Amino acid sequence: MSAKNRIMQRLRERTHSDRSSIQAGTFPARKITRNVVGEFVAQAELSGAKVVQLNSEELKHKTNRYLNDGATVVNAALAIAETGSVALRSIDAPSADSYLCDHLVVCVARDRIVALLHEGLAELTTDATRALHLITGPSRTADVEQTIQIGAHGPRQLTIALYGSGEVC
Amino acid sequence: MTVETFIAKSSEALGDVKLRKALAKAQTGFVSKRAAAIAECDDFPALKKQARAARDYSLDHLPDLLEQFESKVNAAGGTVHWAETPEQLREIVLGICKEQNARYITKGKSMVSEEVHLNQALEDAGYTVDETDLGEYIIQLAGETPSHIVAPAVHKTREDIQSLFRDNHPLGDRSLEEVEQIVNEAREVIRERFIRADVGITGANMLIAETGQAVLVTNEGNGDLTASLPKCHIVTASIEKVVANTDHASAILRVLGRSATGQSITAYTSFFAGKKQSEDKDGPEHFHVVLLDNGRSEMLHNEFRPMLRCIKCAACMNHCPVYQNVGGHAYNAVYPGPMGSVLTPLLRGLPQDYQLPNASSVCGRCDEVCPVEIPLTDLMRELRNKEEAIGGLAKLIVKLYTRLARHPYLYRWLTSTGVRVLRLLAGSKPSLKSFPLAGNWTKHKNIPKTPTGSFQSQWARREKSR
Repeated sequence: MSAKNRIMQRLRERTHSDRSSIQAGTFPARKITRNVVGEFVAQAELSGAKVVQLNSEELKHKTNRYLNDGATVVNAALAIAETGSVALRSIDAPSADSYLCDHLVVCVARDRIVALLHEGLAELTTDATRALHLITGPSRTADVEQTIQIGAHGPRQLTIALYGSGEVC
Repeated sequence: MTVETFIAKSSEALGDVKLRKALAKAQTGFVSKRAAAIAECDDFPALKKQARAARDYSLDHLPDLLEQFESKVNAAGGTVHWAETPEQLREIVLGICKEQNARYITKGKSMVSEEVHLNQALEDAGYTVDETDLGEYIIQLAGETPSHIVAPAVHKTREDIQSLFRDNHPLGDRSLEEVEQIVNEAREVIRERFIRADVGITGANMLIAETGQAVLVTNEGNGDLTASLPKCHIVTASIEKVVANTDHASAILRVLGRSATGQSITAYTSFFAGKKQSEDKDGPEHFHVVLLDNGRSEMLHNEFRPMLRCIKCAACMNHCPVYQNVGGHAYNAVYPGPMGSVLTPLLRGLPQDYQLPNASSVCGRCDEVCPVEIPLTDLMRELRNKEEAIGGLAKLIVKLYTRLARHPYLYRWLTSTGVRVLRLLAGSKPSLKSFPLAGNWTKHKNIPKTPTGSFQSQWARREKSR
């Protein structure tokens, strides 16, 4: 018998009464009271990200500026207001690029901001991707005397560029 | 070889001024940050109940969820391996590294890899193992084991880290005074290792059955670089880590960061489905998940089942007055603090491991802060009842006390006499430095001078004078 079979046998040795339900996970940390975009901006800034609000004309110009300054610019699949996170997928951009750079710029369309964490994750399971990264703020560590230091291995700076729907940067 | 006992090591730790300074910093950090993070929630108790419900669902459906997870990973071109024991896990990982003709291995933090002593096995087989989490890197340089499951180097001071870096990084004359300089140096040194690695080994905070994803929660970004850059990614995880779907994963994520580091969510929460497919812009060509049992399948069916809910947030040890004063190494185990005091005798079961559940004042803070409502003190009491390591004298004293507590008049007479004796012995001093038979207690505490009479007699007097 293989190791798997032996482990499974031990796990199935007894069935316990199942009082648990599959319903769990939809209660949020905070009710989203103001508009979703406003809540997202507030949470993202709390996490140490810089949020830049752009209109369609500014988008191309601004992202070119960032690129010329050596930043990595990527598109987010969506963003989550509850946590202030942006969702990056390896089918959209190489994971390595988003982690090895010094300054990461993430473009998010305003109509791609969802309110809650579980809603965002549910939407993201529809398209297969090797890696899905929920990124909230810049890289950090507190491993030296519990002092928070920004810029451990990932980007030292995270800029989130919000723009109107319809464009891609 | 002397047996390393908690009693011996904790005594040592109490005398270690440097260690206690480091622990004091950690205590204020973790405790206050968690309090602030849960205060901003609408209803944290409701979030705890929700997280507990997700974990209970996992335990109620464990075999089916594991099967589902495996088939999803296989469908995505990955491979799931099953290890009953630490030895089997080491063999499996060594086998994969051999297949890959690996030379350099990077590691994201994995407590399971510590549990099975994986690094040692890899190094003995000739591989270069590079820890990439800063805390793990520091203790790797120091040749030590982690003292905390979230912040492995919490026992190290800035000076410790400075000298470790000076001794191990041949970078000449430079200042390492500021934390920023230390972290920047680590960033530079470790960067090349990310890039040269053939195999990357990470842990997983959760395994999602419905999607076949391994979830990794970090702040540094090292986990993601370890997973995405090399041509082979190995995930080591224990079997109880599986959750049903992304809703349940969300329930757990909402309490995990807050309980561990006081963050609503960590900087990087990543979901890895497997190897690079044609639509992916980058990623490993090989993806392996190695599942570890090591006693957990047994725990599923006995009174310690609630312990399997654990999401490894470390809130219990951050709030434990024992851990706060002696640190993690005193436990001489991979998992320290309250959760380690339950898990270690169950997973490892050495006689001295039963000292750990006895090293508790049952204050209950761990029960209060556990985000998945594990009744830690109850479980510690269950382990104490097993009395694997309690000596004959302690058993006798407990028997005598039980007898005494059943005879109120005798009890009252003895305690008031005892109180009078203590007052006499103390004389004019405010406290007693020693007392016969109480050697262990009075080594670290003084017995304060007792007031006139026992509580009962004082109360009786008060009532009379009304």
